[in-house]
Amino acid sequence: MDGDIHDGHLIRGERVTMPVRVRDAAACSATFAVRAASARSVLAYAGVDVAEPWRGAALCSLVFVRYTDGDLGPYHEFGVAFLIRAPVGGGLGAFVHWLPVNQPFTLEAGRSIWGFPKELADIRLEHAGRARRCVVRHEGRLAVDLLVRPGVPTPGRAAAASVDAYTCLDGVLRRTPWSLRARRVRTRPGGAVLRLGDHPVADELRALGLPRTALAGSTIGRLEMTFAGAAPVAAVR
Amino acid sequence: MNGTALVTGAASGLGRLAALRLAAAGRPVAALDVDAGNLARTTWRAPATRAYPCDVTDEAAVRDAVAAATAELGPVELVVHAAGLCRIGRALDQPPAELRRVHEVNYLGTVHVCQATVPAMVRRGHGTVVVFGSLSGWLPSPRLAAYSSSKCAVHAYCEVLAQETRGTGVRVLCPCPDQVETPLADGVRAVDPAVLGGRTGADPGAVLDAVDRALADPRAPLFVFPGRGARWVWRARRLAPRLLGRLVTRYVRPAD
Repeated sequence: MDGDIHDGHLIRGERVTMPVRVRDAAACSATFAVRAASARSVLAYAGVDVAEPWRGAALCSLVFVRYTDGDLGPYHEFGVAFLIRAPVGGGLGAFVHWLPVNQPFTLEAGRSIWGFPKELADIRLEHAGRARRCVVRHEGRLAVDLLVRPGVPTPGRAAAASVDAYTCLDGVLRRTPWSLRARRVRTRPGGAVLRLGDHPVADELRALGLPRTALAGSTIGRLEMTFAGAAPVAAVR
Repeated sequence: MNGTALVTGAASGLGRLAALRLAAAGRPVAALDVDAGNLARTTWRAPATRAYPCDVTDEAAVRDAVAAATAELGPVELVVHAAGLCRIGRALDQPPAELRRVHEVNYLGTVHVCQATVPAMVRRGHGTVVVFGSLSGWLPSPRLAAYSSSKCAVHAYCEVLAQETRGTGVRVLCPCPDQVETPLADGVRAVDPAVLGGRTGADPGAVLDAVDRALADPRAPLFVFPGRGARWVWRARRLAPRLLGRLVTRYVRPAD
């Protein structure tokens, strides 16, 4: 299926060229401090190590995004990500552990181009009100129900940022250069209400000590992103 | 609220954004616009969205598009009528053909879309119709005689439609935004920026958020004014019409 870098990738009969651009999206996130030892055991399959901003603690973010205008079409997405130490060289990265989406095109593109752990799920988003809410159901089970309360405008965050996103699908660890520009950002300490269901991912989050008070919740009114092609870092095992 | 949504004016501006948001949520979307080329940009990589190029001034074409969408995607449960046209000109000089075109798109377009979709909603006992009005339909200003009068007619039509469908389970909502940063505003600005009072309009996303909030609130009134400014202007129009009229002629100074 995968073509080379010059002719892009063929997804469902359509060519997707790199880098993939998202011109308009809205996002919400809640970041939690979790036990580093539990996070390590969740991420053992990828062979990556969590970053410890302070001793014994790792950072886990739950994110939901509504993509309206982008190269992969319009869709909803939910993500579970961890702050990790970059496997090669110094620095930090974001490891994407679970990334359900609600549309088939982005599902196939995400899995085959970058190895994003996308799965088809029912993702309901309420983005219009002051508090934003996301309910994710997968295979008939409730995974998460996350509410993020409004924060205060945070102008400093409007600048662009570049992050390396790491994924591990089918035993292949990949690195994806990811840049983003966020506008209309609001942040606050705490402010997230999380309800976990009976889905296996909910059980994993429970093992991490969730639900608990979030460190911070934030909403992004307008998000632009660019994803370059993924490069394998090292095969696990 | 998972049935088919029908969005007019879906090739650009508010209609395009509304269609993309509905498609992102996984709803089947019938996207209508006269601009078939740009309509394809809206339906691109949105598997549940289908394009029905059609001119809302053509009653038969609208009926055909609604029939085709119903057959292919299922009964229409939500209509978002965002198709609109603005042509500016002096009240005494505007060519009648141009004026007629504005009224045909804005007023008759609304009638055609509602007549093609609402009867089936009434039969099923539920449905929602969102028709975009405009603050300028409540507050006319220089060079907008054609547009303001057409939107004023749209408001009147929506009010009568709401009265006549009361108790049927069909809900009518008429958001009346102030100027919104869409190609329609760009078009006006390109001819004469002074017609818009030199102001920057609202973000289309914020306008649609206000519509979403109104849809989620069963007690929201028929006319929705997205943004604090629009609500203030509407109140001032009722409470201090002469003062507001003086402000309009003072701040809106077209070039010619």
